[in-house]
Amino acid sequence: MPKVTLDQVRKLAALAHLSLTDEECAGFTQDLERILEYAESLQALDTADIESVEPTSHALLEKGLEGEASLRADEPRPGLDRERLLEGAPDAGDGLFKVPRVLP
Amino acid sequence: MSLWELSLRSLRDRLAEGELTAEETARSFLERIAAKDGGLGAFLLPLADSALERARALDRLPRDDRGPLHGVPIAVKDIISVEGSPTTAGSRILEGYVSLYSATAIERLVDAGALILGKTNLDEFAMGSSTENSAFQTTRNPWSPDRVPGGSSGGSAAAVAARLAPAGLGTDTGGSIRQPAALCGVVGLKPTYGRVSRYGLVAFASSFDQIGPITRTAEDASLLLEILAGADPRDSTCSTLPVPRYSEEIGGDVRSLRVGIPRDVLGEGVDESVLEAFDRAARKLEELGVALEEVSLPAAKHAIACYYLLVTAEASSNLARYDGVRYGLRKPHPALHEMMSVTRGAGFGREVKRRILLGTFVLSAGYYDAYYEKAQKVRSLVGRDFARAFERVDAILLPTSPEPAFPLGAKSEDPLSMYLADVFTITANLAGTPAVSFPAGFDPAGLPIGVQIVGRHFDEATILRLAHAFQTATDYHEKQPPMAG
Repeated sequence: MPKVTLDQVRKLAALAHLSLTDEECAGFTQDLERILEYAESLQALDTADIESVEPTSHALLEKGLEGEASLRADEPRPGLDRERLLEGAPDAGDGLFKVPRVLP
Repeated sequence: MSLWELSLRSLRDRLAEGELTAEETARSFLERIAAKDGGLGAFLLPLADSALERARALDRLPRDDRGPLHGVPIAVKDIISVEGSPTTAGSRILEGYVSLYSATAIERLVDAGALILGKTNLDEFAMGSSTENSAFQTTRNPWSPDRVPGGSSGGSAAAVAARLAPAGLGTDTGGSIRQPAALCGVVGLKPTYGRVSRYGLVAFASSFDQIGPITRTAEDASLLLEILAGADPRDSTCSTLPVPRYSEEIGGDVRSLRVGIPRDVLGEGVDESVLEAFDRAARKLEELGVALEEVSLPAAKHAIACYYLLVTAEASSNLARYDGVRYGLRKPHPALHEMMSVTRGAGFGREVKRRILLGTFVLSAGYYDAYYEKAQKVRSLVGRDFARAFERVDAILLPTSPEPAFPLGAKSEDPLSMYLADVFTITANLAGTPAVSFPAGFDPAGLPIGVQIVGRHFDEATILRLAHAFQTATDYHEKQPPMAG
């Protein structure tokens, strides 16, 4: 039975770059515990039978149903317009995205 | 009959014949949106000016240059990019973002002569089954304003049900086209994974997401699918298999078809009226000459657990891109990583944060094998179940949702109970198979009930044909919700 702790949720939030309030952390601790408890049914499948099953990462690729290999030639082609892209940025200048200072 | 009551097929035919202009058609729907959407909340952003401008341009086109969907207005879930319009994905984190390009699905519709009526409401990043996770507004069920429209494509489904649009686009990762279609009494088609390009669709779980049509009839869905489907060099997971003329095959005979009934998945927790509608639909198919056969989907009982481990993992990595640097919201902070964290903390809603945390958990060292890889193996088992069933039958009949539309707020505080709403839809996403939900009855309170038919990979033609035969013999889809009047 997975026991999810408040510290674990704080660590997950840090890994995911999510700033959370204490109230949120407490709520998510309970939620994750309940959801993982529900997902325990999968552990019941822990038999030799499932060990031999290949994991699926894409429902169709393995079956060759997607038609011909669909990787296109790796050739340069025009992308989106840089000026227009930068117009949508929270902060930009000199043709670049600007972020808070990273070096001291 | 008013023009807004016409099916997409009839509307298209009259537009093609010149009996209707694109402008009067667009105007009629835009007027209905202006008059009725205040109480419904289906649209986040009607695109009245651009739709009318486009309609007038279409009317000026010489007949020979007109496309197969000439003048047909379409509502688009606001997670699909339309160039020059904001795409919010129902989230505050995309505040201020305007799409610089259109999704392939949109390009294809526009090239075929369709026009975009507006962008519709959804659960944030398509994560939810009630549209209540939208950061912006509540969408109501046109059949009962105190109930949810389903989700996550609740805005498109409500708009089509209330006759504010003849058709809508939705996206289906775990049932997000079919479940709201069922709860709103309309048709929702999730194509085979890879049938429709995902280019320009804001990603939630990339190995599951599919764009598909929401309409009032299976025939209307076929008219849209044959435009939407097909290879796209900008989406390497998009199939290069040829696209059938679904609308020409839809009237084909169903008498030689075999449909599977998976009794083993119809367990507890399914509303009595849903089971009755399901049995009635099975009998109706039998009357139409379809052979019914019992099939078994033993791994389906693990589908919800399997699905929520996999999609949250994919979501946690897909949503890493929202960092306050290149587009959307930024909350100021003097340090880079803190800026990203406070931006994401302020921009994402509760369910999105919950899923990012769960996904980060299942992908983390020490838990990966027990959860993520185990779930991927169960995904294989679900696929095997379908493959085995499809050796004997051409399609499988399932309920779409375990219950009719539930009251607003009934599940919004309990994530697990909301996840259980997807119990019948998720298996098709795990297996990548196509599925179409269509109206099949009403509960005692008058709320619509849907059933779905799941087909073999890339065999949308057969499930559309079955749904069309059913709709030709029934009139559930012709009843209008109170809010349409």
